[in-house]
Amino acid sequence: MPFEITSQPISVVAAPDSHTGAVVTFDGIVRDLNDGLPVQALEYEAFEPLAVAEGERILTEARGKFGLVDVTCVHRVGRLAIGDVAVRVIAFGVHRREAFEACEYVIDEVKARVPIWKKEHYASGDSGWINAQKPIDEAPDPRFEAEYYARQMRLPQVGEAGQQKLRESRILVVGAGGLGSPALLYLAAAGVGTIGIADDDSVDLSNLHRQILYAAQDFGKPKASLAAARLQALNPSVRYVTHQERVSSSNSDRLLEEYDLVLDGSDNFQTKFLLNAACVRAGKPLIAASIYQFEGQLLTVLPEGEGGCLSCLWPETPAADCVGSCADVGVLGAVPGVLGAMQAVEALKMLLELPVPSSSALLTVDLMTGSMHRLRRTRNPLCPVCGSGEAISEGLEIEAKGWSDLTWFRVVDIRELHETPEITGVERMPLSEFDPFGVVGRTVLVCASGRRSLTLARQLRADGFADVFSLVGGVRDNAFLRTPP
Amino acid sequence: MKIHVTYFAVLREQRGLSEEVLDTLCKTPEALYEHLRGVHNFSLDRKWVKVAVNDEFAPMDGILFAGDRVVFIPPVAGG
Repeated sequence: MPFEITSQPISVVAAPDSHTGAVVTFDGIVRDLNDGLPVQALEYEAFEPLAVAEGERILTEARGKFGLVDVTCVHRVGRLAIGDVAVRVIAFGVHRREAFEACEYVIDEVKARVPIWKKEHYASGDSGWINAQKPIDEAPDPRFEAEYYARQMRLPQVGEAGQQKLRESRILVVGAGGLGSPALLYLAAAGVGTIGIADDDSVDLSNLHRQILYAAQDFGKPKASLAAARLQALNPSVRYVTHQERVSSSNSDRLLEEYDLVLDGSDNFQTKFLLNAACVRAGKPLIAASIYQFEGQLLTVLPEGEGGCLSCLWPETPAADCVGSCADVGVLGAVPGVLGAMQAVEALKMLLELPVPSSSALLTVDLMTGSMHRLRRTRNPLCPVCGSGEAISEGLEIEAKGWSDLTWFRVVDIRELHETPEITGVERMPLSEFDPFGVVGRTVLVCASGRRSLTLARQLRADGFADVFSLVGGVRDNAFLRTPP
Repeated sequence: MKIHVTYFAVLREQRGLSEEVLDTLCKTPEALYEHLRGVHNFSLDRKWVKVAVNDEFAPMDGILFAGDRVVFIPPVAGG
């Protein structure tokens, strides 16, 4: 029956999620005529690693170009008979138009680019190999690039060499929202060679006032692929990879593998702290930012950097409801615009191997008052992520090379009041009148040589004060104590 | 002693201003925070608040000196 009306359920090709509103399937079938010659059978052969890699690339392009929910393709190899399905493309879109267009795009590109050859066995007994492959990985047109990047290459800090560094770099942007939008636009325009976009969300109308990658018509479509399409139009010489998934403890290490640098544009503590830990584990730099109404915070975490990591500041991941989200407290769209652009600047400086002062500070920006603070961070040796965690608490004695090693301790001088030299800025609690209940927080005790402080620390530990330490060598061996902190 | 205090994010919102100079007897940032929390009904528990003294992150139980510039910073997550 050519056209039917039915009250029975119509079986569907499995849709990947509830956003899918249209599924378009294309089947390429072995037919009995080619260029007027009768064909009896077909044989397909593929150079598989290359074919799969190129095929994946085409699917990624299609997801980006058409803002698809998903698209898949399967191609047969071996000997096929007339009527067999040789290739199948299935495009899942929010709406039908992009699904139709994507389906056509994928099959055209697969036929043109994927290294699969077909050998037709003609009824006449002849056979022939056919492959209409285009060269893969066309080199970028040097004239296009020279003109495109002319203004930034004029900077002495960039130049030809810097542009080449950017071209060879791979950055993962997590969250293509208020921060990710401007960051992605500037990174793509600057010519960072590979840009990964991780976001599992779809565009909501309430996103548009700050998430400037998207248009009103994008409502309901997946952000990662829309972002890739928008950026592809902005700078086609960059390779875009979409990761339509939420960063979790089970996928974070895998996601980071292909990248040199991570930019955190996420909007929740769980993702932020998870990414921080994953970057520390992988030894990859992280540029994180967050906003609150008219304010923003930005910090960079470098492997082995003196500033430590996000968990050095907040060792425990803050509860989701401890401060408000954009949805709860409101945000002016241009505020994440400023912070996202600042993240892009920090990322580009890092890739260009320029100094990145945000790696040893937390930058706070208040766009209401127009003020910016640069608050110096130091690594917390007890940090559960980049430090030794609880391990140090077991030791009774600590060694210090300078005041910075004591940043996370309250320093208490237990020498008697007549003992000199005085340690500037340090509290005195002489041993002869020592009150254990004055010991609050993580404390390091200092005496002349480290002997009395060790005895006292041991005694206090026995009394249940877990966070008390003794400074090895006391005032005698730690010359830095004679200079103010 | 006089201490210069700056508030960020939800603390600024609940305090109703960005910065002020306080005359206080509090010896540590922690004591100062707990005092201010009582006065201004800050919703944030002390454990989520970081403090910077004179532009450098510092322990909450460190010692304050007259003229110190103290910044209270809660973590923020918006994006």
